[in-house]
Amino acid sequence: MYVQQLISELQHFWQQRGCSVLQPLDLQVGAGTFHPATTLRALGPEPWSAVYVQPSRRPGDGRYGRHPNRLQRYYQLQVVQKPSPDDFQQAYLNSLDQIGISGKEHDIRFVEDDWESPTLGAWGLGWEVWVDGMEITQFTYFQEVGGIVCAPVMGEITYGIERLAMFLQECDDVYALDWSPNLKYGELYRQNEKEQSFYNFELADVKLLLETFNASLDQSNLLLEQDPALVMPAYEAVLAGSHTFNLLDARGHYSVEARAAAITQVREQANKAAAAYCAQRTRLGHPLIQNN
Amino acid sequence: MSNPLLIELLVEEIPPQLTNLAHDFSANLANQLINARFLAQQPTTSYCAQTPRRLTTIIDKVRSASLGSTRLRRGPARSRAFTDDREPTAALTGFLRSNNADIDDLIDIEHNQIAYVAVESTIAARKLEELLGELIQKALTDVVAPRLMRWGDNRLRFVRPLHGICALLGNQPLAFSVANISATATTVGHRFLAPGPVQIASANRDEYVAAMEKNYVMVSVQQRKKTIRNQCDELAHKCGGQIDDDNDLVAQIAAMCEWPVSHLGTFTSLEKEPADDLPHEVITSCMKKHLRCLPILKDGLHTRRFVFVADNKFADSGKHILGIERVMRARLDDAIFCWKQDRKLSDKQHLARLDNITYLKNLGSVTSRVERIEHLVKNFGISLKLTHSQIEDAACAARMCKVAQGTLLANEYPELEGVLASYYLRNVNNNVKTLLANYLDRAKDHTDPDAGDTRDRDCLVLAHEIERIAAIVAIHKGFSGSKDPFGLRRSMLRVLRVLERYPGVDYAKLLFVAGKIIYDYLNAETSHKITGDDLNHKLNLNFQQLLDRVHLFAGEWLNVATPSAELVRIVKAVIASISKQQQNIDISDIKQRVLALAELRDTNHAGYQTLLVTYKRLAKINEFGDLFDVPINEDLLTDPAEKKLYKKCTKIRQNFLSSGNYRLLPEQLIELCSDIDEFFDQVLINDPNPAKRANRHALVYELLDYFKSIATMEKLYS
Repeated sequence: MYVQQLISELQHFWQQRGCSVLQPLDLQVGAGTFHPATTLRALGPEPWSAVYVQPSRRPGDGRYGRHPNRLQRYYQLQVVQKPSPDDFQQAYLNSLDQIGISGKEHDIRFVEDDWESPTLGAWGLGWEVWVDGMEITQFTYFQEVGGIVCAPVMGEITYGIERLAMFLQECDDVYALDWSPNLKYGELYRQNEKEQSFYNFELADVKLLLETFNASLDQSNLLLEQDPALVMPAYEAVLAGSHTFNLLDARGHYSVEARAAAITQVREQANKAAAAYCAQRTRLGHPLIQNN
Repeated sequence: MSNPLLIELLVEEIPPQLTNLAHDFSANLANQLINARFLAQQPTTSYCAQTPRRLTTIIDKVRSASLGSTRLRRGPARSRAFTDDREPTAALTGFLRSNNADIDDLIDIEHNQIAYVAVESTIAARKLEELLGELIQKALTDVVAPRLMRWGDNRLRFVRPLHGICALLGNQPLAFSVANISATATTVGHRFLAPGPVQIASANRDEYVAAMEKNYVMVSVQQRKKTIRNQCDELAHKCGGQIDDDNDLVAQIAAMCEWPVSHLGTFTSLEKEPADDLPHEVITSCMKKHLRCLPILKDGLHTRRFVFVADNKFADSGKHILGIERVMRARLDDAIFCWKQDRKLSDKQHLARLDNITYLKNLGSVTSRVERIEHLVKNFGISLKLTHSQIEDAACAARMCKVAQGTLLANEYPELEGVLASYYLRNVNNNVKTLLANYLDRAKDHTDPDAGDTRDRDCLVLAHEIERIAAIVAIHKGFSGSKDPFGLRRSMLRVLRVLERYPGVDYAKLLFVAGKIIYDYLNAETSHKITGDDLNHKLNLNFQQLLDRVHLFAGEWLNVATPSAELVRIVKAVIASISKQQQNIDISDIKQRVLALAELRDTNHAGYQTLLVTYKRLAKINEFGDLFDVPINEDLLTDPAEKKLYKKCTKIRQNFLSSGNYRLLPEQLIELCSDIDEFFDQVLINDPNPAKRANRHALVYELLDYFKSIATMEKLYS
């Protein structure tokens, strides 16, 4: 199964189950969870169902395009449903069946992995899903986002597209994946991985990044102080701060302790944005409840 | 009519470390059934079992209907129930209203020689089905688990979402529901091998186990462990090796499958030059921690073989094995890649790298940090009585202890940071390497009689953690509630574990030494000036905060998986007895007191209660507090009972308090309790003679002091 086909199969599957197919967030983020369609929509009483692909950047995971499994930028396919349906776990297994991974032929396991995003002040309980030992999905029931309790609870499924594709194509090298009949993953992204790794690890200007980090969080604060608060720009400024933090981390700028301090700074701002979002939705009368 | 009650709860995959969940649920449910009168007493035979997806309990002799009962409710005293005009008083009206009764329902009773009015209420017998849902819900919410969750728009909280309930009393299915889930007499088999419904015919244990086994579910965790061990041994034997024996890992794997089937895998690197010198700790961590595989060893060394336990059986397992081998290869090849990159740096380059890592805002780089740790090692080394050469080695290890921080491999395996440092460094002696390899291993913080002299390691651990605590406190806040972004609790726990082995070493002193170094650094090297008073205030505050919260990690400190409320109360009481102004904090002494009280409570509960009652009595007499903190005049003791008591007090003072030996003190105090009773019965404390009266109060004060030297006893009252 080609990578492009895998994405469309999964999107189609979840579309059939009532999810709206959305588009990626046009910002540099570490995971699909950072998309407002997950983080912010997990808050409040309004129902929500969406599926989308999110390019995800983890600067520290880059390997200069030389490693067959590690990338600084990869794709996550994100499914979110609120409230989480009773058969969410079974539906997920059916989605695997749909793309050709059957529990009759493979060892599919739900291995405890309590998810936490310290920068978003979010945590949930769930599992990482293994197929023959390979982690292909993160499966989470959100309990808190931005320090706010989620009620009802959003269920989140995050498929690792490259991992799944490698499994399905029985491929040992991510760059050898067939994206489409005419295009290999390596042709699309190897040069990008090489250049970005140099930038992330060796050339990114630490002084400039530190300025950007502080400026992003200050900007977010300023936007939330407007009346009414400008929630989306403020949240996006938090995301910019979060990505800059990841770059600084890849540059080896932080000790364990300094890292925790920076995470706290981002989290405090994310919590404020989450609270402002909740207030905004309340002011608007939670329109999605009425629509449903 | 009573029968065995079978309850099986189907849940989404339970975290493997929660091994006692079925047991807790079973015990909670039995208690609920006893309270609701469906069960006469704690069942003599009951059965519980747990798999990743189900909790099962079978409780014997459960009634299908509860026993009805009558209950007498006492109202106001008869004299206060009616006015002089025979009209009901407000007290009586309220009592009648709350019991839904009329004046005609009143009966007269006598209690402690006083006449009261009362009403008799009847509790009707209830059918099990009517109440079982509620009882199960209570039993579920009372289980002990670190984190409970909600799901969907459900209000129930449990470790993972609940999906089904199978319930039978004898061979009768029971109809009730919990959180909108209806009970039935069916369950399901293995998720993939027998997913269809499985009809359960009766609450008989053997029949249930057999029905599940037929559907590929081994309900007994012991059986699963045994199966895994046998399969692994057989596979290891085939390739001439032995399994890396790890009980915890086998238990974890057994808790993750319902039908374990083991397979042999081989790791073949795709790297052109496989790194044979890759640290074996990395291979072990990769196999065990990341993939939960059991490595096969030969003569204690890693082979390229491992066992992976699947929760499934396949007609052709070839594809599955290729899959797991591919994952293992990807992980280990990445480790090799990182190892090769990291090894390119010399010792000097590794150290130079630390200059560019920010430790904490205003506290310089990691290089500055290791300089402070080294300084502390030299200082603490004297308190811990290290030899000169031990101090030299520990100081060298302190200088090198962060060389692996930020390397590629340490980023992937942060738990191995210390171990990797010992591998990366080429020009340090073996003692230093051993120190580096061990100082971050928390398992080695525990008292181990076979560990030999660990003072140099302990000194490095203390310097590393206490520098961290003092630095974070100086720059940031400590922890509050569940918020502990810097992991200060973890640091504090390590300090407790180490210092409990060093009687007389004062934690407060060590902390303030570290505080002084931080203070000097901030004022000399940065614009973030801080006054000595401010820092002392912060340290004092945090110090108290840390002590006030020791009970939060009492379980980890005392090695008790789930500390009881009583144990937590004891820890709080002992900590509370440390004066807020007291500067000398001897952790070893605190632990001795906690253990002494806990042991007494567990082994001599009646004696423990006597201790509390006697203390209450003494405290009541001591109404003037510290006024009688004066020496006792032996010449003024005239009554035989007070003389006897004084004599015993002297013995206790000499034998226990002066030596700081608290282990036997509670037992001694219990013996003293009968003498105290005699003293109270036979001696008039408030004697008309002022000198005698003061002397007797002084004796009471001294007795109270003995009790207080163990704990703040008021905190032990339940």
